[in-house]
Amino acid sequence: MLDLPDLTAAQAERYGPHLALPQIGTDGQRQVLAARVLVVGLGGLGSPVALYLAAAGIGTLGLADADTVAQSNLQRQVVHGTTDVGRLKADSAADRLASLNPEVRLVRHRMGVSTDSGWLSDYDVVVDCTDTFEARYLINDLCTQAQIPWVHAAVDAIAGQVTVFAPDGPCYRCLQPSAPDAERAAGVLGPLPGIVGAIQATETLKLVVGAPTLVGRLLVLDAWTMTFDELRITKHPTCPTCST
Amino acid sequence: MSIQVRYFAAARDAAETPTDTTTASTVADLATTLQSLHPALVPLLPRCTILVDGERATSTTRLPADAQVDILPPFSGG
Repeated sequence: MLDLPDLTAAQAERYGPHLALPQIGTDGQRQVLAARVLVVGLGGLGSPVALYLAAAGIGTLGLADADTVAQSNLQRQVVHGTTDVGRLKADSAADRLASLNPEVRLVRHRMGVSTDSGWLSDYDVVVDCTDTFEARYLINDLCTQAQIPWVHAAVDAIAGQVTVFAPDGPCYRCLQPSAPDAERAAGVLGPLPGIVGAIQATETLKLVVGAPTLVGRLLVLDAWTMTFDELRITKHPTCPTCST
Repeated sequence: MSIQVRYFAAARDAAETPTDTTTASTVADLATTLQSLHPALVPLLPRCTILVDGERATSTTRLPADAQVDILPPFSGG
């Protein structure tokens, strides 16, 4: 038996659909309620990730973003509303999530990640919902050093990718050692980050309950042809981050 | 030696096919062949991650017989 608090009657009702699943059950939900998850980036990916994780009852949810809500965000960043334009995303998202599930302890980090982000190691899982290579390399290097699993995703236009990086598997630099000279697509299909973010939230819950995840497998989806492909990725023998 | 190539996302759009089967002894040889087959890959391929049987490759990586090569463009948005 896990050394975690029992569910209250209200929790048993609220999380009943999870309790009924053999993959989660009462013990799994107790792990969810005790988990500490950091969402970095509260935009297209971060919106569904934060909403689903708060709804699932994640015990402590860190919300990290230095940006403010813009009108052009609202086409896909569904955690924010029209009246939130101009507010810090960390505050806007926290207010929405508090309304969704008041049980969740919400920690507002009104900043992005940096080399000084020691607070990142206060979390059990990090979810990468950022929009720059620079932020992803920082998350990769910090999480690899602290041995924290993290759930990566990125989207462009009509396509996206998602995987899980964990201490015993390949890391982001195994896949891509340095930032490519990437041309950023001008647009993004509104529901695309919703699909990809829902997969990230799913993988996060699986990490929390100790189920097998996408470690070593990169899922690539094309929302226009609605095809999902899987690529195997392995640790690189000369990876600058994880080979030593 | 038969190399199975899979293209993803924008690389698939540029190649106008999800897969190719060809022959090559190194990644550099393969890139030349694929860019010749699909000229739209010329500007994109240098920015792509190329995985040979799951491991990231460089232009000098030798291709084993029957290798599977995955060509993945960079994604940065969130």
